[in-house]
Amino acid sequence: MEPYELSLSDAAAAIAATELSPVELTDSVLGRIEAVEGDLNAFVTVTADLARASAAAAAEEIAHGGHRGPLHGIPIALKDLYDTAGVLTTSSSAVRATYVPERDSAVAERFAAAGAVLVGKTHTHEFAYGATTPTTRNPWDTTRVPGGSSGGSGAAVAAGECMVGMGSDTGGSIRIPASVCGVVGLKPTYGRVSRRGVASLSWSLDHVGPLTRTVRDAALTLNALAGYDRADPGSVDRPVPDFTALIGRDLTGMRVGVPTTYFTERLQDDVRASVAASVARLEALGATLVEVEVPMASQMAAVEWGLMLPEASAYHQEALRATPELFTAETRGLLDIGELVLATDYIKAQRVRGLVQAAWAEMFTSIDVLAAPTLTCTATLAGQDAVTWPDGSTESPTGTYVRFSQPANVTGLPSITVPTGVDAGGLPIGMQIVGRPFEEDVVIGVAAAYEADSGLGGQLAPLRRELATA
Amino acid sequence: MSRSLDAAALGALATLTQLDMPVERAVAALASYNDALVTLAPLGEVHLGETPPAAAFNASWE
Repeated sequence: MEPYELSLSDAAAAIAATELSPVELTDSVLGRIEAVEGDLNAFVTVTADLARASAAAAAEEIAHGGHRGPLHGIPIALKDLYDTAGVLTTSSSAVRATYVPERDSAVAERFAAAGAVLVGKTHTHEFAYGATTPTTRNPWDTTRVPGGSSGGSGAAVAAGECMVGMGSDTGGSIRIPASVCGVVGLKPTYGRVSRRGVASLSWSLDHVGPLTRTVRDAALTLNALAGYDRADPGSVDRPVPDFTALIGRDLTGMRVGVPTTYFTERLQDDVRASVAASVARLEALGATLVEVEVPMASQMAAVEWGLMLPEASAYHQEALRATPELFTAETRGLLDIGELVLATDYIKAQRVRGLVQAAWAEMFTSIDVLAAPTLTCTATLAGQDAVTWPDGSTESPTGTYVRFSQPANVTGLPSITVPTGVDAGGLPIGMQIVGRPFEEDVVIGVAAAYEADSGLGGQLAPLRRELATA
Repeated sequence: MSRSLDAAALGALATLTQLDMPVERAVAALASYNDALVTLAPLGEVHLGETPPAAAFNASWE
């Protein structure tokens, strides 16, 4: 096994035991990037020199007894929305083609403090406004999209180009690429991780979080990133637990909500079957299944778009007036629409959101977590403009991808996606576990129990084998 | 939320004029706006009573 194939947890253990050097690990990951980027284009910028210098510094520090913890010497990548001092930060847009921040984002600062090694900046759907990431391909099938908007991070983690890829999630943009790329994606509770220095799509819906190859890796990353930051107006001052605390416990007594509505409508048959089998595994592990109707389901998209459209247009208003030609037609069109949403509709969306949150809080009095398909379908073809359902209805890829993920954005609840297998075409399927506010440790515990039982943790995309035999 | 494109277009055109938007782009925006109105329509199905708006940019649980 090559070092780049290790999970974060295994690499961290090897580094702590001085069996693996951060320099050796980083060289392996950079070599992997060089080998597969021609097929994937997951990165906007690869910071090879910076990474080698950081790895050498980590190795020196560890050799002198200064091991900082599990992220010390671990190669990570940041979505190109995250400000990185002295490193190009484009948001995958011509609008910011030359933008080099002077200061790190809060997340970049926390990674640096933990001793992580930045190997590069990953592609996003332009300014995170879409769920396909057209610049990048899926390492499970390079004719298909890696999801989005954090598609570069999804592809990079799945292909072994980094051990953590950071994403942002406004309607599902961590969990969508994680699901279609066959990795783990964790959207924490709204306010849990600071968004300071991350380009916004929609302030009241934006979350930041990790994509990793195992659930434990996501928990270790959240341990390093969570915490109050007054510079983020959405940040919440809550105690930060050890997010690995419930990993390894069985599910006896855990009440798992199984939706009988919303998440059961218009989805791929083998996605439905895979997630149903996975929920049955949770029951076999000791959980009690509780059927629930999803409250206020018909308002979900209206609240999501009623908030996102005007907030995104407010964020980009200056650039939209000054240099509209620099946006792609897709993004500019959405920003134009956001200019037209009435203030009263925006306020109405906020008010309905409050009712949705209250209704979901009531639902969570009878369950501890909700288990549901992460997405309606697996990875679509690059360039595909619509998904057609048996009832004749159609959706855009972005529209269908956010349908099951957006409730956790509207409610702000924590949600993690884990791989559950593949469809008939060999493409990954994901199941999301949604929990109560600030109970990331609970959703992590349930996801880890499933992952351990299924044996699907830590997998790399099959591109690895295809390249090895090429 | 039952506004038609025709009704919404009056206000939308005023905004687009302020944006100094080329005609073809304005037409495209208006057509897409009609789709957005369909998406937002369920907001009008909820009786809101005295429900207050969420705090701006902060949907936190505290």
